[in-house]
Parts: sequence; structure tokens; C-alpha cells
Amino acid sequence: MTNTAKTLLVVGRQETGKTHYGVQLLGRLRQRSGKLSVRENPESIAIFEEGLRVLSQGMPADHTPTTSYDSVRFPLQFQHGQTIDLVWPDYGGEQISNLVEQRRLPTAWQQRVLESSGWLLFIRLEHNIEYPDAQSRPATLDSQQVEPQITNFQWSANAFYTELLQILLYAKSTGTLSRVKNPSLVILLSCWDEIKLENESTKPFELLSQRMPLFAEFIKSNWVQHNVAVFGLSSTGKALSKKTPDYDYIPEDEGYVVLPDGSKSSDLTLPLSELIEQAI
Amino acid sequence: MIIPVHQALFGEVNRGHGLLVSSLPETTLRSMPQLATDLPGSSIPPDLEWEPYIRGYRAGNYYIISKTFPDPDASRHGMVFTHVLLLDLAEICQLNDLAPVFHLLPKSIEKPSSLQALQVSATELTTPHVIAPGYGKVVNTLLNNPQHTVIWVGNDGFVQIVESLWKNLWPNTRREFSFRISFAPQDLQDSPPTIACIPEALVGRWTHESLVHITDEYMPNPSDEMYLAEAFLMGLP
Repeated sequence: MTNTAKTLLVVGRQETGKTHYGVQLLGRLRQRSGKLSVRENPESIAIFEEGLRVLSQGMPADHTPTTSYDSVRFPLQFQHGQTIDLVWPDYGGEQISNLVEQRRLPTAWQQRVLESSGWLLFIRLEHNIEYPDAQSRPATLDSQQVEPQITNFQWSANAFYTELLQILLYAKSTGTLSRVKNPSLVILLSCWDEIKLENESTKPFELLSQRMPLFAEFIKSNWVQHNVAVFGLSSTGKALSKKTPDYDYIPEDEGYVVLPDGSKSSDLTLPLSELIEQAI
Repeated sequence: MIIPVHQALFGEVNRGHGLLVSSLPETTLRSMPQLATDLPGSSIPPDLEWEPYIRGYRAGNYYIISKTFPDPDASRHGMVFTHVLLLDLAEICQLNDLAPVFHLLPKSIEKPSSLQALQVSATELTTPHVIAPGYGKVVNTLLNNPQHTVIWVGNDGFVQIVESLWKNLWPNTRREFSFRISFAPQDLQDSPPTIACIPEALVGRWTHESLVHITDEYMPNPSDEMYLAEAFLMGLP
């Protein structure tokens, strides 16, 4: 099969787990025990070296500087032998926040959007901001109650992510008159381990629908069903502290994904293989 | 001449790096994509203890001078706090001495809830003419490779080197003069500054560049081809 490099658009705001997933993904790919593995060692893993080092000490990776954007080329192969090269980036997530807040897509990002054949979107539900709406704030509420003045306006997560995907679709010249097939979309609900679930068997898309109903409907209405998938992701398996290293922590043994059907797997390559298979 | 100096603070906002407060409207700052207030690049060893550093560069019609500190109170490792001064580009180019501007920068992290514009007087020439240690070598390196960034090892003396260069450049060249820290040669590839200081602990990363140390001594030789240019930039009679 082809070795043409596929470029995925990895989209995530700050502290949504892009670096942790990149570091853990590299480890899993090297183990060659998952659905995807590396055919040979990547030429350079400089962008993940420090992350690998601190994770092996049981500490979280550093904040990635705002303006940085680096990538590594993974020479991959599927279990069934198909090979593909993948360009995997790491960057400061503030670039994504600024993209929506400033409604401005820098030239470099325009190029990345155009070249991408699949989108991997990180959402950390516990960091989302939501405001009361007609559903969560009944009309019977005292109408005389004075609303607190918003001094530091922040987008609600529903509006932010919907706007973000609309900007990216526009940049890729993809309309929504018919459902979107290209680019394929995989949504990762990151830091799944910090979410307090009422029902442990909750499927990722069900959780997305409960917590971000507007955004979930946007996805459901605009993408071809087979070209979108929602996974839960816990790259490190548990929260790590920058102040208290966990010396017993073994990165290779930690981390899991929650598959769209609600089952768990330690194969962190599954969301990526799903996206690649959709995109090629 | 009195020059207004606007201020802005950048640090941890919503678990990321962003604008905290400013004496200018937020929209003005948003319209400056050149504004760089976070660490350059992503090649910083997490256990590296770097000192607060200064940075200067042009952003639109402003010249930016900033000081960046590691922020130990931030929720994540690797986050910084930056105090930014913004001066009108045409006006700062008429300023011969940057020392009064540097004096406006704090010595440690201060996070007031509001900021007002300051001002600096163009007549304040506070520093007498002395050649800063290592400055002769900086001038020689700069003139021999004007397309390449001069690499200054360590933080000591860097402010004096910047002040000396600024003082001896003519106003038009000050517009494009820039300085900052660098943690790896790769982070100099985009928008390379005129001069960069590098942490001494990372000096091994620069294998192909000629480095300048504060202890380097150099005096122009009148018989050299570059003598006049070197003497001019060193303020020699």
C-alpha cells in the first residue's frame, strides 16, 4: 500500500491532553502490541523527549509554549500489514483558543487544515464552561433576579466547539448542505478518569450529548455517521501531580480508551487507527 | 521629549497563557500577531532553572520591550508571566538610551488588577559612555555575519550589551533591532533576532555558531577592513 504521509489535524485547546496522548501514543506504537505500530523508529522524537522523561518520573508534561508548533513523522503499519506514514504535531493549545476568540485563521493553520485528511478533536469536559440556558434554568426562576455582570467573558463550550468546527470546515471549503464525509472526525473526551460518571457503562457519545447537547447535535446532523466517532481517553490513567512525583508510575502500563460502544481498551492506538481507516 | 509607554501583563488565564490586563484596549493587542509573550519554542528541559529575561522587537507600529519570569504559582509547569511595555515605534527610535525603559520593568512578578500608561523622557541619558564587557566581540561578530543572530552565552551583561548596541545604532536601524532568549538553535529559525542570549547550561546545543562570552575581549584594529564600522558601533572617536 501507499507510504504517502497522511497529515491529521490534531485540534485541542490548552490542557486538553494533546502532549500526554502524543507521548503515550509513541510508547504504545513502539511496543508494537496495538492495532497500529511503528515499522521503524521515527527519525526524531525530540518534541516528545521531555514528555517521555517526566512521565517516566510520574509527573505531568509541561505546558507547551503558546507559539510553538512542531511535528514528528511516524512510519506506521497496521496489524494486517498496511503501511502509512503519519505526521503528528504538538503545539500550544492557546492557538486553538485564539482561533475562535479572534475569528482569525493564521496562514500556517489554513495550510494545515487544507492538507489534513482527518481531524482529531480533544475535548476535556471537566474544563468546559457552560452557562445556564432555557433547559437548565427553568422559566419559573425569579425574573427579578439580577444577573451577575460578566467581567471576563468566556465562550461556552457548546458554542466554542461548534464555532471552531464551522471555522475549520469553512477553511477546508467543505459545506454542510450534504453531510460531511471528508474530513473524518474523531472526538476524544480526554482525562476520562476525572469524570464522575453516574453509570460506568456510559458511552462516550451519550456523555457528549448530556454535557454538550448543542455540539453533539451539530456533529450528528452534519457528519456522515460512519465518518465520525467519539472515544473516551485517559492517556495517563490517572491524574499526575507536578509537586508530588509518583515513583511507582509506569507509563507503558497506564492509560486506556473508552470505545464508542462503551468498552475499555488499553490500546491507545485505536482512536488513531479508526481515524486513519476512515480517512484513507 | 516625553514618550508614553503602554503596559500589558500576560500570564495564566483559563489554564493557558493569555492577556491578564493592559493599559491599551484588548483589540489593539489582538491586532498584533507579532506579540510574543510565552517561551520561545518547545525545547526547554523541564528541570532547567532559567533567569527572567528581556525581549525587544517590533510589532506593527509599536516597539515591544518585555520581561518574562517563570511562574511558580501557575497550575502547570512551564508557564510564564510577562510584563510588556509598548512604545510608539517612531518615538522610541529617537530615544538614545534604553536604560530608563528597562527601569520600568519589575524585578519580580507583580500582578496589579489595572494598569495605566507610563512615560519616559527622551532626554534622560543616564549611562556614561563605557564599553560593556564583551561588547567589542559582539560588534565584531555582528558585522562579520550580519545575517546571523549573535549568540551571547548567559544572562550576565546581556542588558548592557543591548543598551550599547541600541545607543550606537542610528534611528532607522533600531526599528529592526531585536533581542531575546533562545533555548535551542531551532527556535531561532522563525524571526531570528539580532542578538540572543542562551542559558549557559544549554551551550552544548550550539555547535556550529560562534558564541560570545562576557569575558571575550576585542578591540578593532585600524588596519582591518571593518575598522570604521566597528569603531562606529563601539562609539570610538
